[in-house]
Amino acid sequence: MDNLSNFLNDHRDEMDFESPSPEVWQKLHKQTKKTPVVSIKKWLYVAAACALFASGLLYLMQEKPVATPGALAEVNSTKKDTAIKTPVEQPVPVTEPTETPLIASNKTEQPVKKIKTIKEKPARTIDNEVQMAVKNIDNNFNKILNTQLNNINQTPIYTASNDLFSGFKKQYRQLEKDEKQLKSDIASFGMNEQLLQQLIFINQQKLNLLKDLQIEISKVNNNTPAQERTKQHYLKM
Amino acid sequence: MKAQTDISISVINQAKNGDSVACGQLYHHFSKSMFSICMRMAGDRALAEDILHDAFITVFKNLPQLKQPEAVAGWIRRIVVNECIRQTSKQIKMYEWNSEAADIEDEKDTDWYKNISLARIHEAIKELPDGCRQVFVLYTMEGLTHKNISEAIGVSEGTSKSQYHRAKTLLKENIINYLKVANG
Repeated sequence: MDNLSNFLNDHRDEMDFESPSPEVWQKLHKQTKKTPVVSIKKWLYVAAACALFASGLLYLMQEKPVATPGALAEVNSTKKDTAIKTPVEQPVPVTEPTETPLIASNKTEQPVKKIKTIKEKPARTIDNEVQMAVKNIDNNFNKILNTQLNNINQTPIYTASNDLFSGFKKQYRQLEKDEKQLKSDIASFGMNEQLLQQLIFINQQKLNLLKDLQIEISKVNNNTPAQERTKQHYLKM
Repeated sequence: MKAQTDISISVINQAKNGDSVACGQLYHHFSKSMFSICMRMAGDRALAEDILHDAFITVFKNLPQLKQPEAVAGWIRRIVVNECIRQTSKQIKMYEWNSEAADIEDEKDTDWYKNISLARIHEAIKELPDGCRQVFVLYTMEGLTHKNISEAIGVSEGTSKSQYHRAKTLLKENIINYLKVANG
């Protein structure tokens, strides 16, 4: 092996400048997935259902110690009656408190109110939660990206050519384009785990690209002797 | 290799069991470095993305057979390089090259590349003509010998050597010309 080969072999891990577009993973994921990806919305629905079930269970458990032996007997007989007469309507006491109170009437109304709020909540908040998640990712990454962009834009570059880093600019624009497309997909199809991962991935790629660019600018500047630093310009990312 | 150390074995094992989230993590962990290989070998973004896609199909398909999860980086790299050879060898055309001139060039070889940014060298490699580009990348960055290369792409060992010298000369010319333009 000659010197150039050795040099490139030693630095090959520092030459990972390229990033594939998110479509490659989208295509791969479609072809390789064995089990259907459950969307965040579905998970939220499952969570809401579990919460509903748990609060129903809690409601029943809370009532038992309050009830007197007489009342318990009454409850048992009422339960039996309802079970025989309307087996399908067993959960009715949970959702419709006006029908057949199980124990003293002043205690039955409170848990029902809780259940009502749980039932109403998911429908209104799922989309909001997804939107908030996207917004949070955006805000957090944007803060870091903007800081990095400002650093780069304020760093003088001591070369005669303006387009020394055009490759980086082009890649950054491409990533911005991909991100825009991804966000429009999220708006159209809703958020799922795969899209969320891609959104984070694109932002990470943008950060890596800016980091690599900063390193390259420093290298170019360091390799330019002080006496040759007559021309300087700033990158407009 | 840095990528080897910072992906957890549990992620690899989950991916081996077909966990799609772990497969995604594995892909995103290696995609940048593997795609850079594809870009250097293919010289073209669309073809490089096709190669990366096909290589990762092979990776996911054969992952359950991976016996040493800690060697996953090298294993994926070999699959990617093989896929690169398979898909780019269709477009490889070898041109005649004066190997005597190449030997003289070798003697004059200095450290001209040491002050050049790696990004610029990467760009210049992508701009090399088909044929000598693949030989150059396989020899310098993937550690294949000329004998390995000749067997892999179906040329003689002498052709592989001469194409390597051709690539080296063209790379140097490209970078020197670029620097002349860049520095006015």
